[in-house]
Amino acid sequence: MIKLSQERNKSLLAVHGWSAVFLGLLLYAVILTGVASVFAKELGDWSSPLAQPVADSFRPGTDRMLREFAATVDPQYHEEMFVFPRAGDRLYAFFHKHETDEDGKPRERGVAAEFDPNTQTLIERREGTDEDVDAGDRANALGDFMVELHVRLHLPNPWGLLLTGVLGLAMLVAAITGFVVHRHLIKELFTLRRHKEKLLSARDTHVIAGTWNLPFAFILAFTGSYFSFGSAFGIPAVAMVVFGGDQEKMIETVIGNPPKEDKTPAPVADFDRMIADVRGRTDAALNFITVQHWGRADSLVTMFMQYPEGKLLGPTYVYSGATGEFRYAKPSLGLQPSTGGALFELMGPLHFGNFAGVFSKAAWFALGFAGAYVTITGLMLWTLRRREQRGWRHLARATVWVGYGLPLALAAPAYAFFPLRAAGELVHGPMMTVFLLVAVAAAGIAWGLRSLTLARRILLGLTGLALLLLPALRLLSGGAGWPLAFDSGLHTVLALDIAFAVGGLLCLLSASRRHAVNAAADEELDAAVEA
Amino acid sequence: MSTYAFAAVASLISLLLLLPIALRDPKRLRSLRRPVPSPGRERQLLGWGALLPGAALVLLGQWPALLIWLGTVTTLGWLLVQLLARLGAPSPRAG
Repeated sequence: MIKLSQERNKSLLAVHGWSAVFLGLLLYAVILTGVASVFAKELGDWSSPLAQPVADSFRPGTDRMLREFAATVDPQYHEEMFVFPRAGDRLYAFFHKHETDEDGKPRERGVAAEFDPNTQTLIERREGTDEDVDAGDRANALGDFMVELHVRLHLPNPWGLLLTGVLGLAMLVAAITGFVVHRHLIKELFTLRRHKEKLLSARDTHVIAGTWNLPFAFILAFTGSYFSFGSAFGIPAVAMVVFGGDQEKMIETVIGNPPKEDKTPAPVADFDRMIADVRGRTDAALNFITVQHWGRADSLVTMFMQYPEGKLLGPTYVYSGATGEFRYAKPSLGLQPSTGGALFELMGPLHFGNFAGVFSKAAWFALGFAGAYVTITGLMLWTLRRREQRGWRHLARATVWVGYGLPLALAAPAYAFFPLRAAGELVHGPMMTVFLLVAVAAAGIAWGLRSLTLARRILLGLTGLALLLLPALRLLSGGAGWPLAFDSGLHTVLALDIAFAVGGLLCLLSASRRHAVNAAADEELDAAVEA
Repeated sequence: MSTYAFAAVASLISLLLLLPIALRDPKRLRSLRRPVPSPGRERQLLGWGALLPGAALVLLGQWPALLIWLGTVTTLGWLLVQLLARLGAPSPRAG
């Protein structure tokens, strides 16, 4: 317990509340899409699986596959290449060069390809800037939609990143002030009163969720702000001051992998041999390969490994792209291990929760969900406290709109994705259109219905229906049936079908209950708003 | 032992120790108008005991298991409080 004067406590409570009121709804959107993004890769595996599960994305023959692809690519794009497994464990390779757009912002231009690692055949080829290439991507579209919304709210750079960075800071402020003003943190850890005192009940609901979620609110807010501000502001600022605005040069120097320039043409070393070699150095799985200067004497191949069992940092190994000779193991920053480099590297696993497979992801999913719950219950508490003031009643409706309408709007783009993907059409634009249309319809329900309780139940019920029907939609759009998925070992398809069905049923069940145990506070707020 | 095994064992121990604290929590019982047990050191001991598995994971250098333990205990701890509140609350129909 932190002892504060009544005056200071009041000030901090005001900071806590107002920071949340101004940014709470957007923060809820970022947290909720973050929850979905934890399983972005699995969303891709579920929506776009290959016919057979992939046991090894980089199996022997990868060398021939990449070499044949490189031969079809204009040599100007051999400046850099990366390859890694994506939706359904397709291997995604992108040969590209670096350039700046009309506004002077860095971008990539080149040729991308998706391969089936089982048959080692080309699935799809796309050309253009990184933005063009992403716009034509169908296999990863569902997961990417969530990630883009989470990272930058689909706003252009750098504004989206700056906004999500500010939202991360607001979450940090709310967590710190919430921690300081809560006088009986430990004493009230198990006290959740559910009785006639509606305000008390709403306050306990928010405070209990916030208290249990406190350690992760700090971690996720800090790492999230770090990523947003680092990309939007940190990198350009450092590049401006030290490298005359050349972000590429800065990244090469900071990362510590600047190859000594030697443009002499040289044959590309055997990737299968390098992959076999790197697998002998660690028990971690190979995750990502980059090649700088394909076909030149100064070519470097960098292999990024996943997290080894029991570790939060994955090793990285560098090879000569011309000879295939092992050069060195590399920390993420610089060429020598450092505390700063380790802290930099820790940001990823701490934010993404991807360090120990599906169980760590499940824990992060639950923690994110709790964070979203804290945000929305905080807003409900705020509006309940001010239920007599007419101005705040719109915030009560907005809270229902975003709190219950956003999950519905997030489920809706799948209904554009599956049929359009099956028809061979582009999916990103229509997915966004459906998302916005459903968001507008949800606003109509939140403001159009006199009863907030009814609006809440309708939105929750529609979300349940949308989730429940997702497996059927996937099947009707040509997706693998359950017997086939089971026989082929496509476990993610089965697991997510079940998860969506169960989630949908829970939403429907919750929406159909006339008398929820904690409905008293909601009803009091509804009565005030409807008055 | 794998990361999952470390995390599962540590989480189970912590949750088993948290359960009696939650069940006998004086403020919770008072809010339900139920008899409150006389205060003792038991609650404090159980509380510190619930943190010990985390300390053990730190000493063993099992960092991924530590994070999963922390996430599991905080999430399930919160759900436990929700569950006890629902079980202890008067029926909403009763008014």
